[in-house]
Amino acid sequence: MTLHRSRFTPLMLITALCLFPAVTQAAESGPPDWLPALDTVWLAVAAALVFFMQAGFALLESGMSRAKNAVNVVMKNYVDVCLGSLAFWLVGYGLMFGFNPTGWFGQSHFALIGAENGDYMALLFQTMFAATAVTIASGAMAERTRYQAYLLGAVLITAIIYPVYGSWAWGSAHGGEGWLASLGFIDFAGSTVVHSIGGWVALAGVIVLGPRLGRFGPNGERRPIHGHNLTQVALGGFILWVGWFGFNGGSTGGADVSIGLINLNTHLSAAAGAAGALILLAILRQPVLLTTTVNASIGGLVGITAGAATMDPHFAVVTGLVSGMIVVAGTRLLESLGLDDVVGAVSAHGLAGAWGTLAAGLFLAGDLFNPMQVAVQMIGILAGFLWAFPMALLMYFLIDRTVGLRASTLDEQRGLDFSEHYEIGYPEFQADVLHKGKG
Amino acid sequence: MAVDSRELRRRRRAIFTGLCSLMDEAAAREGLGLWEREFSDKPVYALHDFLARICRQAGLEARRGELHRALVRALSLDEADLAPDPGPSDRGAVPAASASPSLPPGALTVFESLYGGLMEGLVQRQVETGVRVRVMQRLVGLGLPAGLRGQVTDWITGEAAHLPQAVGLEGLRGLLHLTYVAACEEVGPVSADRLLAEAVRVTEKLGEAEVFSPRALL
Repeated sequence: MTLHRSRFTPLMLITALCLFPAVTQAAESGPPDWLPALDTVWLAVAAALVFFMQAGFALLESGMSRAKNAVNVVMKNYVDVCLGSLAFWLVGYGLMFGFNPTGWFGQSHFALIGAENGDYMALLFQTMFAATAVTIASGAMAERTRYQAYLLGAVLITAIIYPVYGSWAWGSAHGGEGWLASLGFIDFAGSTVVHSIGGWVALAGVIVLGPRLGRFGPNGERRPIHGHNLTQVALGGFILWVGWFGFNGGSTGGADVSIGLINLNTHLSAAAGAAGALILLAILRQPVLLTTTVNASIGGLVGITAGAATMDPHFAVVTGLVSGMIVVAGTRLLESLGLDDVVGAVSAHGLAGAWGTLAAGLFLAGDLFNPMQVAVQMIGILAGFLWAFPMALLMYFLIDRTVGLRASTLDEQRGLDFSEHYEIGYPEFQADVLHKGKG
Repeated sequence: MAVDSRELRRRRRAIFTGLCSLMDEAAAREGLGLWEREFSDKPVYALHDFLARICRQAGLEARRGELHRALVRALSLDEADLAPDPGPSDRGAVPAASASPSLPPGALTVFESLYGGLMEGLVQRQVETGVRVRVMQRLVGLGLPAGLRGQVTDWITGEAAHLPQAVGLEGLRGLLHLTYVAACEEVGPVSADRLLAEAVRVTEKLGEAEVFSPRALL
């Protein structure tokens, strides 16, 4: 993704003059900048859409959790954006997009001030991506993670783990080139950079935490712990879907006619993701759960993110179909390994992201199934895992040994809403199992 | 992070010293028991959580800052300046028999109703034996003195009709929690939550629940 690239075509200029006279006027009279006004407007809208995805994550994750942990899940989603944004501004953006002479990390633009407007826009847009990456782990680690420990992890992810990999694939906007980018690695909007990295971090968190109390029986049998509000889950899914039009559409770096194809591919892949899950579940003669369907469409969205701009729509459908199936199969695989991923984030983001990145190489328009491109994609996928997973494993292990990552069983009994925040989401019907506490 | 036993003893004395600056000895012993059971193996940051719990338990919310300073000061003192170790017989800080009146009226009846309700549901699922065994295996974690632990074991196995008062409020909470944890392991957390909620509903209809809320034991 190149934010410097200007694709301000004449047609768009006419459209801009008709639709946004004030904006173009401002562009004429304002200081010169590398990002034209209409591109800035589109990126600002796209950034808002990506930010709106946080609401989707919050609804989806809290809906998939038990009522006694709903507030905690929402609080994690809310505050990881806050702290993560600060960390990304201070450190992450510089590491990811700063001057990158070695190809391994950026070395400028930390705590960005006194920059051009285009830089500020880029920072805002990228901050939303960082916030997306970090929030993926919260759902996987729901219902048994200490709040402060989770937030500490969130800051480290947005400050270091996410941006360092990002600098390899997308660096840099300010000179130099990431080593993966120089190989020709394709990850248009971040199937791997954002989603797989978030998924691998989530996997590490799930491993260090261990499963929720009683999630698996003495002989390893699975015990489903259903979420408390499936309507909320569906609404979260819809909101994420809407937000993704900004996530992928905004990754053009500006107002661009290619957004039509990109967002069509995004939509088709999401729809195909759900269809893929339906097909696989029908073959397996398993019930078609709402949670699985929503997760599968998210898998489709994650999968197409790498190749949304570089593949034809029929391949977007294939990408989505396979993504949906991967979500179903991946969730079962994790359960069989005794790993308790509350919302299925590792499958929907980690595994579907890896597949989507591979698909971007396989289905590259005009250069289908090029083995060299596929090899580069594989290198990028593997590098993402080998960087993010061990780093996150080490980070959560150290957090666990110092601050303490896992909530106590008493806190699990009472629910993290009460034990971590002294408030509950549903006072009417939670009163009977609520600890007397302060009252 | 593992702490050697000498350092653990020093911290134990320091916590006791700090607590004694604002509490009478019995309350300080109970607070020390809480620290030993739930916080002694946690990092130093957990002191804030301990402080919150002990202030709530002892009704010292308004003096939290004062107690915090006292604990921090005590933790930094040399061993020679610390209060003597309160002794192993108090470990677990379950009130001794002489302190049994500190158990609020109705607490034991309410507890037995909650526990009974929970176990009744587990009997229906034919897992009550497994739950009892798991609870007994973990009783040591409550930090009760050996004699008292034996009495509690007798009560769990049905050899004694009532729990001894000396088990204390924290002991009752701990025992109910151990039962909940064992229930989660045997029947899963969803069923365990339902059983506990049902036990609370039944217990709240008791007259004793008017004076001692079952929610105080959750």
